[in-house]
Amino acid sequence: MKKYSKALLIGLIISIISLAIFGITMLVKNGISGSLESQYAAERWQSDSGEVRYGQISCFIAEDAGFTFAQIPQIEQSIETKLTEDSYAAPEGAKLFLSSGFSETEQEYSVGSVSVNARTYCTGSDFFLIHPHVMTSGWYYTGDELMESGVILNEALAFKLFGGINVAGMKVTMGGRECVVLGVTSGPVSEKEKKQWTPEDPADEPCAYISSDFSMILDPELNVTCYELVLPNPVKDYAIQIAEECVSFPEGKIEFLQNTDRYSVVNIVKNLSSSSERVIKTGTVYYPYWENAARIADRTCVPLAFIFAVTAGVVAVYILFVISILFINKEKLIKSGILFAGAKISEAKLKLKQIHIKKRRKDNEENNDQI
Amino acid sequence: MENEAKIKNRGWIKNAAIIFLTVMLVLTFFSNTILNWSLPEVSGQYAGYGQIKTSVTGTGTVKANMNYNVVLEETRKIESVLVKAGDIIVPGQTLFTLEDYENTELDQAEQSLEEMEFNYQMKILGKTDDTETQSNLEELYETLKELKEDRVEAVKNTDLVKGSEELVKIYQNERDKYTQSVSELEQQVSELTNGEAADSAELAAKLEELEVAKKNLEAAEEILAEKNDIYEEISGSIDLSYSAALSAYESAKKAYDDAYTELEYMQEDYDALVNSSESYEKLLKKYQDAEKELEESKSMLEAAQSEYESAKTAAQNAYSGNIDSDSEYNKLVEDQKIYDAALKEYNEALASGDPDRIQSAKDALDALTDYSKEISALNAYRNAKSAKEEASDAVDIAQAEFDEAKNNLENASSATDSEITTAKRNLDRQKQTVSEYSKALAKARAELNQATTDDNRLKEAKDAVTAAEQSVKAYKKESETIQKELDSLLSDETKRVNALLKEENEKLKAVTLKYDEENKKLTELQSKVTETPDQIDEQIKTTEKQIETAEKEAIKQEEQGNKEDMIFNLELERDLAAIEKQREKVEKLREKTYDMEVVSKFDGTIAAVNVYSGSTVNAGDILAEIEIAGKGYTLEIPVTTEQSRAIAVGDRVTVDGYWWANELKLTVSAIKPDTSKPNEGKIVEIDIDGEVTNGQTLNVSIGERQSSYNLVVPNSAIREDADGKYILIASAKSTPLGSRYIAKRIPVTVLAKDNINSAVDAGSDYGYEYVISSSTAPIEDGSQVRLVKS
Repeated sequence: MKKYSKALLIGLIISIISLAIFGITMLVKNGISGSLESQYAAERWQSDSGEVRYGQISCFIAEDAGFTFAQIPQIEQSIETKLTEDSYAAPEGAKLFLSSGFSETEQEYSVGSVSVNARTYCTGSDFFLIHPHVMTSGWYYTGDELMESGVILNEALAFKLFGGINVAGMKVTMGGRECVVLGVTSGPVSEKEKKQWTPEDPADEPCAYISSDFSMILDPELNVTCYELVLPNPVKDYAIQIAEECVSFPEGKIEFLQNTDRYSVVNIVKNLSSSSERVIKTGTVYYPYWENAARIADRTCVPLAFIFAVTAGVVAVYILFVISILFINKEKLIKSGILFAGAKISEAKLKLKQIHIKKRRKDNEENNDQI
Repeated sequence: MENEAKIKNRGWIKNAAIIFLTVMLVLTFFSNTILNWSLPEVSGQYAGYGQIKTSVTGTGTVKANMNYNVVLEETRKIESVLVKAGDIIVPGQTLFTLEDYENTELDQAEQSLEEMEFNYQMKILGKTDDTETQSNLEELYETLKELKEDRVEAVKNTDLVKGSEELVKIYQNERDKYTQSVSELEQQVSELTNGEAADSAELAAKLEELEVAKKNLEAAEEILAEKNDIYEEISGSIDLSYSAALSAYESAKKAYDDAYTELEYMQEDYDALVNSSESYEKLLKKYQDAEKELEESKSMLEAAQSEYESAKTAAQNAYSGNIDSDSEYNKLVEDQKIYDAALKEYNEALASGDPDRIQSAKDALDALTDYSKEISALNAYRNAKSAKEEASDAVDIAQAEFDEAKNNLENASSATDSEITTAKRNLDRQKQTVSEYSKALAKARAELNQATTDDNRLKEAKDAVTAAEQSVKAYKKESETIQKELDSLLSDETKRVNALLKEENEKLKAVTLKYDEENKKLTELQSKVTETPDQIDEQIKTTEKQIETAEKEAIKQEEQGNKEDMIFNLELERDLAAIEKQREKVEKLREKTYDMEVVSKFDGTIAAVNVYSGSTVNAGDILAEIEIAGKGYTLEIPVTTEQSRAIAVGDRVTVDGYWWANELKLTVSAIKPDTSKPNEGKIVEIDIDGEVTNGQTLNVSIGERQSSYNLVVPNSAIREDADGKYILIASAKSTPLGSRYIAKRIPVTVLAKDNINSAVDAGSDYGYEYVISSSTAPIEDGSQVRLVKS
């Protein structure tokens, strides 16, 4: 044993350093991935009681797959049926799952004589629960408004049309229809996603959001390119299985992605092996801006995954080394262990006896005093 | 060297400790600031009473309620277009002129008929010798031609008459409608002039109010009269006024009090006289008793003195020590106790028979001394001494009492019997006087009570009269006010109805004028129509039959000829049949009108002109669209089923973004299913009253309903997760470092929502705390936050 003590000591020091590096890398990883709010919708949706775990699934659909907003209610119905069969039900006044489609188009917005063409995102009513945005005025649509003709402008578009950003409640014409400005946003909460939202100068890129109900009125044939779900996920891969069963398209037209635990240590180490394949795009699927930000983060996490793997490996090797040494010297160790245990037991017995003698002596003195 | 190293190490440690403590101190002082800096900043507001406004918006196209399309029934070419979109037209006004009708088809048909007839006639003429028959036939052909021309003219005139008759009917209906409206309004004016207002709900209510006020006034006046009668009755029944009764009572009381006071003084004097007599005898008796007591106590003192002397002598003889010393006495008592105990032990030893015990007890007893005699003598001496002292004290007390009694007796005086008797007599007399005054006082008191009761009754009656008078005054004022309001309403209503009547009269006048003009036109047209096309057709048929008969006759004559004639006849028959067919074809082509002008049948406005000069118009094509005047406009917008629930028939509709919106009056007239999207949507039909044009697009808002709710929060305050919707409030918590704010979750139910705010029900968990509507970073239940500085 003594001849291995130096190796053990060096190994211990290296393991401690590896654990420290692991911890620092974990902090860096959390810093990179923690700010991508769109990836943590399930964690936010899950209530504090935490009885049911939730999972977030993203489905990226090719534009030529012909998936429109009109098909979404049917998919939601089939999801609800499957969840009901598995005995999941929403508490009173709450929703059981979140569902939101996403598409992009171009529309002309005009106020008086001012007209601006802007990129228009058509989204489901749960979109902003999954992708929180910073609202500088007003608020976003939630699906229970009486009129569906509400729009959300970004600051650039609001400024171009009205000359200011505190314009919630004002009217704007879009697609020949009069709409109400529900709110003005400065963009996603996450700075990384915001960079992908307006890659050029944010002050100069007008864009707007409208609800899917409104977009169906303007263009019923508009294709949905991304469909997101937040479903109960009590066991591994339950949510993604439900999504794959209910959202069915030919191969190559759809990609499924489980956002929950995407940036866990295990997952990013697993993704090391497929990191080169993920760079290549083989289908006709289109990724929205938040997914682009997430993929950049994925790429940034590749070296971190390598560090995780190495440091974990070092610690594992050291532990194995220690175990093997112990195994080799097991007889000596057992013997010395037994001796050590025996000495300890004797020592304990002696102490106990001493205590008894002291007590008896004290009692006798007291009795004598009394006599 | 080692010391130097040690010193260096200590110095380093000291420096590190100083730095560490300094950092901790700074962090402690600035802990609040540092903590606040790291917390997310939130803003919000206190939820409270507010209103939620919901409205349904939409866009639609204005359509006239009644349109008329001008069409032609045959293919024609437009020569000129005399109107344009927006022109106002009247019935009979020419809209388009048409080019001469070159109906090649008819021309060809007529030409071929003529040829066929000519050939036929030539054949007949070539064959027949019967000139008479031939000339007859020619006459008939001539007659037929004339009849056909007459028919064409008749058809044209008949159509004009039909159009004119339709217009006359329309104007007649309108005239009847306006006549009835005018007579109703005149009836209303007459009712209003007579003060009746049966049709107006407001006036009827006001009249009823006036009736009620008058009835109330009458009732109040009756009550006032009643109260006045009661007052008079009470006033008349009072004999003695309150003031007189009060002064009588006061006089009687004064007299009684004076007499009673005098009586008390006399009683005191009498008692003093009696007391003085009684007290002298008592004092004498006391003196005698005190003297006796003194003598007795003196004798007792003597006895005690002698007892004392003898006891003292005996004690001195019995005890040689100081007989007055308490300590010696006590020692003797203690020693005697010991002796008594030893004696007791000795007796017990004797009783037990134990010789050792006896001996030891005896030895103990012998060692002690019996002081019983000394103690007995000392006790006697002490008792005698104390008795002597007590007797001496008793003598002192008796002496003091004797001296006091003697002193009192010397100071007392005694009243004589006659003085007492006189005083008694006077006292009795005074008592009699007081009794009489007392009776007079009781009577005066009773009269005063009665007078008070009467006075109260009178006051109550007076108050009742005053209240009744005020009530009458109030009702009178109310009646007058209501009468004034009624008069004003009647006057306004009369003015309004008169204005309406004037308007209706003008409309009646205009429509009557139009009716007369059109009627006149109709009469002229009817006069032109002497025979109807049907009558002329009959004549044509008769003539053709005659022609046929004559031709057959001619043919018959030929039949008697040879075979060639038969063939000729057959050919003639064939030709005749072909001619008949051709005639029918020509007739059909001629039945169409040969108008050169297209005229309007109605009053209205040209909505659209679809042709131009030189264009060819096919049968059934729409040349122009006319909006018929006075029939109004409508607008339809599609809504979802849920939106339709927020709208009701009769709701006012506002127009957005239209300069003259204030001059338009729009109302929802119907909500009907959308046949293109059954079960998914509805169509809302809106009536428009005002200046708009057909095809104009309007943006409208319907049913701006405002509902009030107890708790209204901004939409940004409502959050949602798997457990439902909730709001976050900032609940304050006091800490030694100041107030801290923690976000707390309150579940809510959204009752209503508009574009800005939502009305919620938070149950009993919410106590009107600060609701968080926005934050600089994501927060959740339990997060610590800081409020934005206002």
